[in-house]
Formats: sequence, C-alpha cells, structure tokens
Amino acid sequence: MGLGRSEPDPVRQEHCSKPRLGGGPPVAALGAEGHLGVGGQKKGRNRKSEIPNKSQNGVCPVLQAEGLRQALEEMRTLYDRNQADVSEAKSGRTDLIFLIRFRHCCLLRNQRCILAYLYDRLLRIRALRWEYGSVLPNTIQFHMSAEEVEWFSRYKKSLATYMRSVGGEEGLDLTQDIKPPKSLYIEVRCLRDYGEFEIDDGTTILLKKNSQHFLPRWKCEQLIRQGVLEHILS
Amino acid sequence: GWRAEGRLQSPAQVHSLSLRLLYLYFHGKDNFWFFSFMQGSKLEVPLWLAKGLHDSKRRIISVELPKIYKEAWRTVFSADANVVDLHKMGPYYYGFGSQLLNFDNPENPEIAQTILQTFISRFRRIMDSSQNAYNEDTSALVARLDELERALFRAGQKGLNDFQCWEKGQASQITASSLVQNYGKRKFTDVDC
Repeated sequence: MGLGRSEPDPVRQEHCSKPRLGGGPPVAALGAEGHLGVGGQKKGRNRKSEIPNKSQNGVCPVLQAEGLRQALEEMRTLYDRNQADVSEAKSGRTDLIFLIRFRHCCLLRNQRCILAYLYDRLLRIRALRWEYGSVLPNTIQFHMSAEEVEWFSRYKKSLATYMRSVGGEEGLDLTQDIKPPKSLYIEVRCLRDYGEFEIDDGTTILLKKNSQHFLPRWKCEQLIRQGVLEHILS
Repeated sequence: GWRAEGRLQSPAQVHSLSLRLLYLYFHGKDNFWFFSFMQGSKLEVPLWLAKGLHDSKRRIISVELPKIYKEAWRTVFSADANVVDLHKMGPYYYGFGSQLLNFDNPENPEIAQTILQTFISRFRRIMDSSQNAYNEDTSALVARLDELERALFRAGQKGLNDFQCWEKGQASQITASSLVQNYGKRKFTDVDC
C-alpha cells in the first residue's frame, strides 16, 4: 500500500445557485440526493476525514465499522450496476458509457478513501509498538478490529526477530534509548501505585504513588512511557 | 417519491465543450432518481469526479477555473503574494491549484507559474516566523496560511521546540507516550496482544 493522504478536498466554493452534484460524503451517490439543487451546501467531504483521526497523535480511535460497511456496500451496488450496464453498452447502448464512467469514478474514490483510512490506522498502530510497548492496554485493543490486532501481533514478532538478529548474541532492543541517554541511572517518581518491581541485582522495590527512586535507566524506560513513572531531571 | 427520467442524445460526436447528458442514479432510501443534464448545463462537482470524467479526446466536461486562479487574481498575487489570505481563498491553494492543471486549460502555464511564484514569495516569511515564535500564541501568524504552509510552519515550530528542549538539557528525558498523555490518568489493564 503506497498510499499517503488522500487528495485535497475541492476548494471551498463560493455561494452559488448552481446545482451541486456528488457533493456528499465519499459515497458520492448516497449523499447526493440531499445535495442536488441546494446552493451553498458544505463542500463535499470525505466522511472518513470527518472522523477525528488527526486530533489524537499516536492514539488509535475506534474503528468506524459502520462507515466502512456502508462504503463497501455502496461499492458493491455501484459495481453490480456497472457490470449490468457494461454488457448492455457492448450490445449497442453507447449512451450508458458516461454513466458507467461516473460510477467507476465513485468506486475509485471510495476505494481511495477506505484505503487511506485503513492505512492511517495501521501507521498509528505501528507507532504504538515503538511509543508504548509490546503490550497494549485493553481499552486500545477494543478500538481495533480483529485484523488490526492480528497485524500488530505479527508486526511485533517481525520486529523481535529482526532485533534478535542484530547486535551480536543477545540482539539489540531498538525500542530502547530512543532519546540519547546521559547516565546509567536516573531519578524517577512514581505516578501511581504499581506494586513490586524487581531490578537486576535481585532486590525488589515497592512502587507506591509519589515515591522516588534512583533506578537503572533501562529498567524504567518502559514504565515511564506507560505513565507509571516520571523521569525527573536533576 | 417522484421520478424524472431524461433522455440521452447520441454521445458519438461532441463539439461543444460543455457538460453532456449524464444519467445519474441517486440511490435514495427506496427511490431511484434519474436526472439528466442538458448539454451546456453547469454543475459543481468535486475535483475527483471532474478528474475522472475529464477526457482530452472526448470532451465530456470543461472545467471553469475558480476565480482565485484566474487572470484578475493572478495579477494580485504577482503584485504582492504576502497580503493574500490563502486560508480564506483555499484552504488548499497549492494542492488544488496543482490538480487544476489536469484539465488542459490554455492558461495552465500561467497558473503554474503563479502558484510557484506565490509560494516563493511567501515562503521566507513563514520560515522566519516559525523559527522565531517560541512558546507564544501563533494563531495570528498562521491565520492567513493555506494548509501546505501551515504544515511547513508546524515543521519549523517542531524544529525550534526540539532545539530549545535540547538546549535545556531535556533531550535525554524519557517522556510518557502520547497514548498515555491523551488518556490521562486512567488505569490500563494490560493484556497481551
């Protein structure tokens, strides 16, 4: 999938009385009935782009299954109608060619929107692995479709295999030390009750809310990213 | 519901550059609406549809330039592009303008040139302001920028903020993931994927 963002929406048209065609959500034919003949209608907007994917960086919002289903259903309808008309067009009804072309444009448009939406979600899910960790909280998982959860799991494995293969015998955890470390040990404050935490030399530490500790950086990194600890600079 | 059925004329030869008859099915809840458009009628269509229907050889549609890309406005741009409110005029002046070049308009070379020159004259100010506005309200600075320019401004701000962060010695500070920041203090129950 080499898709980046979908193409820009049409420029905001000035108020006019010309009939507006196909100006609805992606589902061009679906939305058009309400828009024809209505001047000053809001410009055609991809329904997918109205979903606030952009408002939360690094966060995976709920999959809009209903919207997807409708878009796909419309594509099926358009496709079936085109199939029927193509055979008619071949046997003489050349007047149908424009209609077929119109439907084809709508099909491609829906396809672009759907793919852009799904791809954007995939990028966010991938970023979660690097930003948050290999174990995702339940709440986020509920926002993902089964296929996306499966994809995340396979991505994790793929990344783990790769990381094992570089850096010698033990492998190299590339998700660590994303920011250049200045010291081996860091000062951290606990932001919420977490419980017992074992460090390398065998000792256990109790992570209670507001307690402060001086711990090895590599042990804390994940907990900081998950919001359990806070890195304090001296 | 009511139905209006139109008749399509022979599509074989098209000489005039206008919207030809189109059959359009609008799928309402139970109705099928047929609309036909006589040759020469004007419609507003989304860009993607115009692009899809455009065909240099068969002349199904001709596209009229939005006013901001026409001669009159092009002159304004060449006089001083910095004063134009591209957000109000766009907000995708560059992107949309580039797409407009698909329609074989005879003014294309001039349009392309104007878009390019506009960017060149405005870019400097965007770069400077994005690099100098630290920790302040930038809404006035970005108000008149189109979306491409806003993206550039944000990139400049990010660079500035990252640099300041480094200067303060915060570049090595591990931070919570944006997931956590966005969800606040809610507790998560971790489950393996």
